[in-house]
Amino acid sequence: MRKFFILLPLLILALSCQKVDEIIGPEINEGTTSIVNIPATDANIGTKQAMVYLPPDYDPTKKYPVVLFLHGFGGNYLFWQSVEDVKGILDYMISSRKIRPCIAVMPDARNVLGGSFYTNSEYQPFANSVFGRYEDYIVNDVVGYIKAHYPVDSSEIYLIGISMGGYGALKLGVKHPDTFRGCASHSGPIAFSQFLLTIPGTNVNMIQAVLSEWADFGYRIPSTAGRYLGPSRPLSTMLFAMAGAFSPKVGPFSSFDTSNYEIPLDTVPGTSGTIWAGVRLPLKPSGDTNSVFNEWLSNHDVFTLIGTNFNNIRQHNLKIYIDCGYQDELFLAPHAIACHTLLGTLQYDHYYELFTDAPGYPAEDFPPRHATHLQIRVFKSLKYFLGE
Amino acid sequence: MYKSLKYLTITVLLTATLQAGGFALSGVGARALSMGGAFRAVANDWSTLFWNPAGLAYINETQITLNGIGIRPSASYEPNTGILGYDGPYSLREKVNAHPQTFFVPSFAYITPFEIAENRVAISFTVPFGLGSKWDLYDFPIGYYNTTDTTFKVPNYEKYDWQSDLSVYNIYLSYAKSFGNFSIGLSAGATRTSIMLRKVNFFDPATVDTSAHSLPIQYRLFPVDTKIEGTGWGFGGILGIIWKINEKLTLGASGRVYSKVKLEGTADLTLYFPYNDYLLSQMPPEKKFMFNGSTASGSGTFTTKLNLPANAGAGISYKPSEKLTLALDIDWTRWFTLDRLGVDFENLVLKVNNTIPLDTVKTDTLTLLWKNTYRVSFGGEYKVMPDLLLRYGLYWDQSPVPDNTITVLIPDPGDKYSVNLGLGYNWKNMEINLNYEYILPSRRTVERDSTYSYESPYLPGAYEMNIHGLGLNIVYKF
Repeated sequence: MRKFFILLPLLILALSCQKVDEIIGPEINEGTTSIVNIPATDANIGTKQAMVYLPPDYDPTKKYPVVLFLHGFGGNYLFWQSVEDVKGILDYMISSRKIRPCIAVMPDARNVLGGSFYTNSEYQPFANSVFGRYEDYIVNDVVGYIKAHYPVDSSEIYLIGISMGGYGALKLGVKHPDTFRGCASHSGPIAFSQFLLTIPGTNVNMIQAVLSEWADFGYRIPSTAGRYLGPSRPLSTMLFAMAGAFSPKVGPFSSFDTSNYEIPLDTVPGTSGTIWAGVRLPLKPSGDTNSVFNEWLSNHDVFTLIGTNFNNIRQHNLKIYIDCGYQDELFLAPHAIACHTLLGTLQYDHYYELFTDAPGYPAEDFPPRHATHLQIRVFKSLKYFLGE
Repeated sequence: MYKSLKYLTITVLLTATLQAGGFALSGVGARALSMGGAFRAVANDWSTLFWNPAGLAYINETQITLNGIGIRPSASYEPNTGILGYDGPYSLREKVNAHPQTFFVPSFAYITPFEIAENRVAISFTVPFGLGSKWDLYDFPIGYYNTTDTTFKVPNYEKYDWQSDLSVYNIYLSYAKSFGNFSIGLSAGATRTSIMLRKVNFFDPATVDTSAHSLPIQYRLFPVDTKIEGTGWGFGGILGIIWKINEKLTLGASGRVYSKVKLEGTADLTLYFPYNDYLLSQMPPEKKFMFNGSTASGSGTFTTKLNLPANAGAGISYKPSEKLTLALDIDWTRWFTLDRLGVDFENLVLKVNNTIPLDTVKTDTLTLLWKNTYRVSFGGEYKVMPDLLLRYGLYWDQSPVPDNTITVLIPDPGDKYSVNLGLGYNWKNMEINLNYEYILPSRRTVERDSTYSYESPYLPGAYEMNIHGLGLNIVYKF
């Protein structure tokens, strides 16, 4: 009997001292971020800052995949970290072995119009770029800088972008599949023909909607971009930026056919005010699109570029990721659907998601809009490219 | 202003179980527990005051008894809420184990026979209900405090952000009288309930400003640490009968009822706002508090009325020989009464940084929707030597908690299967009983349905639990 009295406290003690790890999950190791200056070949761009992320346990003797995170319209190189905490996402995903360790670079593609659309802004009669050669900047200058300064696996350079950055990611990816291994568009305008769809609840399309903003301005021609463009006129600000990237114009003020929506925006430095830089909008006076829009479709539309570069894309087995919220307030969901349908027709393997909501965040309260749920979407695109 | 604050408080008030179904404990008394709780007809030691007061009529000695049970639950939860901070893509918590705790449940009784007309009276202290759990379940999502301000410190946040601690104890006076082979008994008295619950609720900023619909997802739900703590008194009673059909066969039946318990106490809420330099710069001055890492907290009082479940059961015991006793009980508990619970708050005003009033929280409705349950117990007692008894028992107990209201505070993996062993030893005027109980590991996976949201009264995921219990009972007979 005496043994019972001995056993009882011993058992209670044993039960009490049983060690249990309370949280079963990854231990997070932190990488580092730094800001670097990346000069551009194009003097119109100059030297721009970029944020660089190096993974936990970074070893310069190893080769790392690189992910370029492209910001959206109005953003800059700080966007991905300041809003979405890319470092936190990468630290977690690498530590939990959901993706392989990688270097991340967040370059800056903001120009005087608020966004370069990662495009070479060129007007043929004019030797210099108009609003910056940003395609060249990313593909040559930024990639070159990263290769020169970090141990990069050149066969694994990826592009991930939101909105304008999503457009840039796919555009640069499909045009340069020999440089980029994969490209991801989160809510990108990637099928320009869809701009001509009537906006639900209105009788105008996306481009015509700009006119209503302009009507508020009395259809006057701004003498400088800063006077007209800005957050209070988001649609036309964005359209002007697209036109600055895809259909710029340079010449004397009198050479701009304002009745055909050729808009001079500002004088070109060093020309004593005689030469103006401006844009050719893809509009007719009637509000219909003009031949400029066809230029956009032919030269800058991702949907078109997929078709024209498809052999090259297939040859390099470019990884393509496309998503968009079905309640995208810029009506970009049809763009994602169009490209997805095209890739399906071409029987090309890719990732596509028209997201409705996130688990636990019902769509009626947490609408899947242009930039919402971006952390979760980046998680998916990173995993698609670098998943272990 | 904060219309969603009505959801901010507690969504499950009565939660984690230590032992049997709901928050009921396995029972009272080392001997009865050794026999799996099949004791309504056996009913021949002090714990009959709990199981079936009619058994008191056959206790002939004055006795005092002390009983203690150590309970060690092991519970885990694999979240599948999709809500950042719990899991979703950034789950730091692939699996969470409840903070290890050992609970001590005491009980005691004093019994004395009246020599007149075969009456018996007793006073007892028992703990029929109890729960307790601690979970480190929620972490601020990646980027929640995303700032370059090196002087910024994340506000203190409770590590164990989901906690429950509930106990109900009875102080009962019992009376029993026998009529030959038939006896009837009654226990009645006061019931004391104490409760402490803590959990994380969420505030959706879009309920204040619809432009928040466009916020990055990590800022779409602000966590609110919610805690209530209170006590209340009620009344309860147990009525039982025993019919000794012959020397070998005995039938017993009893039922327990409780009055509604009014609980009163304190309520504390703290809302944690995120920090983001960029969004802070975009906010008008009156809304900057939403992104500067501040808190909004408030303290007040709460009242609610709790229905403890009625219970009824019947048992049979059979003695095939002098040495062996076998028993079987069937038990029914009316958990249905735990349907919804209204909580009223007073003076609970949230203030930003303890200064600027933000909102007044007035009421909350808790959804439980528990189901009535059955329990089947079987046990035996074998006299190995004249003073040494070996006991064993099993029981099966249904879970009252449906999938659509289960939370991490009640790691109830479903129906429970309990295995019990025990020893009894008589030494001079003393009787010593020892029991060990093991509730077998079980697992329940609760799927997340398409309507699930942060306002839902359940947490989807996988729940696992097993329980060890060890009891010691000393009886001194005068």
